[in-house]
Amino acid sequence: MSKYSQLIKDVGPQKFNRGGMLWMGFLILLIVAGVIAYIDQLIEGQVVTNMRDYVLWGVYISNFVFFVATSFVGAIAVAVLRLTKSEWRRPFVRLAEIVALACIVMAGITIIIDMARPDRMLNLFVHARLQSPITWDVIIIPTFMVVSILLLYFPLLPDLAILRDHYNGTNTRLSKIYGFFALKWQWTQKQLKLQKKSVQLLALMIIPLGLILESIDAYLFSTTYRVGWDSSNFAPYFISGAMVAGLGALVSVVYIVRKNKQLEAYITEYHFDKMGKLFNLACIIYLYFNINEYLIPLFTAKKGESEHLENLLRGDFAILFWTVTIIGLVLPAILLIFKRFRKPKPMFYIAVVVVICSWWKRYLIVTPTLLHPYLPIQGVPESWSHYFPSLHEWVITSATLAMALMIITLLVRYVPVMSIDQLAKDQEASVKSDNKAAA
Amino acid sequence: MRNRVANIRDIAKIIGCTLLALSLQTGLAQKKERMRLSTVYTKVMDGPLYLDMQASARVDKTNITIPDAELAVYYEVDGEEFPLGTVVTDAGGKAQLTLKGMDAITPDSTGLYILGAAFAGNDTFGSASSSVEFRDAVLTASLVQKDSLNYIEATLKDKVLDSAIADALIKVQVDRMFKPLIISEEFLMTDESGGITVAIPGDIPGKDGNLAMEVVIEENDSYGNVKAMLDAPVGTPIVQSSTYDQRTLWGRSSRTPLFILFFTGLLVFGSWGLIFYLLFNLYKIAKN
Repeated sequence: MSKYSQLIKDVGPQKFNRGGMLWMGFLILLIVAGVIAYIDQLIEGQVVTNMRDYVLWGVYISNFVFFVATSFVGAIAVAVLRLTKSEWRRPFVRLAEIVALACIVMAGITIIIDMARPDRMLNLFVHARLQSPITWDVIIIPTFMVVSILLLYFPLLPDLAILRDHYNGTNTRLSKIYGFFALKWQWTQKQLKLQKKSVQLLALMIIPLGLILESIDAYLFSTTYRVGWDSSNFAPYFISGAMVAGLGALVSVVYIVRKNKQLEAYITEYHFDKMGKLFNLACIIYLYFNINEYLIPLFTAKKGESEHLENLLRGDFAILFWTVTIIGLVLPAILLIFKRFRKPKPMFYIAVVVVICSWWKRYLIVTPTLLHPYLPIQGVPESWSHYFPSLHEWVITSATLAMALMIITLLVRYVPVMSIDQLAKDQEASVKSDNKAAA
Repeated sequence: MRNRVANIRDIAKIIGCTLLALSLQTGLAQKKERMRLSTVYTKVMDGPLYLDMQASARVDKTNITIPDAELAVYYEVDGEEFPLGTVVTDAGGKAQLTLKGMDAITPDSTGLYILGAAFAGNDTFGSASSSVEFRDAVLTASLVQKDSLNYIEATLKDKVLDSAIADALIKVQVDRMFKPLIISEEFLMTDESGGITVAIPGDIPGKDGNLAMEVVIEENDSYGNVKAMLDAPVGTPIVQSSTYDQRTLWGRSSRTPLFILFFTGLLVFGSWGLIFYLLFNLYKIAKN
């Protein structure tokens, strides 16, 4: 039995149990329904959606913004915590990389879904105007995606080699697959040096790229003159919102993985407590930006802006707005101050609520503004001045969320959720230290 | 006998009431809204004629416009109608028929033209029609200069009678983007010779100093709307301050500001340069 066997058994790949199979079946069902709806949308055109002259960016763009926001967790949990050498980050890092990758991939796919003519996608590059934030988005998303893949892949190399060796003789096919991705990793000094240098470089790259990604996402809105979007506060507001959504998603995923793989010994209440404090800080910062975004303009808002705010605070969107703000932000910010709510289970529930509210928050950022155009839209039915996604939009959007969850599920299934190599080193160091103390 | 007569009367009353009730019910079921149709005639000198139509109705004490109504347009001579074509009203209940000139229609022996539009009716609206009568007017306009001042002179005549039209309300205006700029006095009327003279202010801006002048009679009982147009190079030339060829944030892709080109290029080549470096590291790891 190698020194890695127990660690592989604990944090390494595990076959799906019955619940896992059911979960995968459910996700596949949603994805198939979404693919059928999308094919229908391609054939019939976007008339199958409820997007019309007023709301041209509907639930697809809200969903895209949500995915972009959630992918920011890669930058926070991986890079910031790595660069600040926070040791408690370790159980979260791999899962954060997985969540970030799944979300940025789905952000890219979601924006294609929003295109009425995806066959003309090449025009985005051929006729790109570098002055347009849309072009910046087209550039930053693939860049962030590649960096996220590399950030997941480089630290994974030793683990893939461990799995290659582990399955050698027992499961040749798996051994070959892990061996292919392990790139002949043999823990040579040169390989270790190259890997360390690359991971450090990636950790440095992902922070500015993450900030640029979130800022560009905000500029898509704030470079217009639309009420509710024309705000210099928008980029930091988006970044802080992304921290909340990303950490919420991470806490949810970590809790489920911990419970299913029985990793209580690896991911302890101490880790959750530390993550809870970071989560709390993120919520408080986001709350501060929300006050800047919604409360302060009440003093100076001109007619259009004040109508928009009125609509949010007391109008058609009031119930959703206050639910998202109070249940999805204020309450978590207060509860997470207390240690008892930073324990795994309560924090999981808080995180799930935060993630759901974060999704609806993006809906509130996109839709109400579009219902208040500056120029009158004439000669259209009155029903176009209201928006609620059509069945096609819901089915397709659900499928994109299912795809993100499926990417996470498959990666958790086949990739160690924590660095086996690092855990083994920690254990060795701990044994040495104990021996030294005993001597 | 009296009883029998009384019975017959009663039966007749019952049958009568039943028939009346039935006819009322049928009448109510088939009751259609009344369409209001209006027609306005406009002639542009040396240009086309327009017949503008508007379909509307008053339903539940509210005025509404009627879209998608098919209207048959015709001209009438001595009680006989001659079709000119069909038009369909837009979302605002409006439709317009354009004729190349007066040659497309014929007047009666007195020189009176009649243009009309008719709606055949549908499930919601009953049939409706409207017509407009007019005589052919000739409106000529010219630019004259007196004592270094510029004037528009115009004359209005009845074409068939070849006589000047006096006391017709007329206005002189300059075509602008949203709304014409009227330069004549409010109630300017033609004199006995059918003429008017209006001074053109010297400070009206125009592209290359050109002003699109319009002399117009509107809603005249006998002649409808008639408009004469002429270009007058007497305005103040507009100094164009176009940024079309400059590198601006709103310019086309070939006119991207240099700082954006520089920073975007730096970010793209910087990050992708590092990505290729990292991929090369992977290659080196595999080869080691």
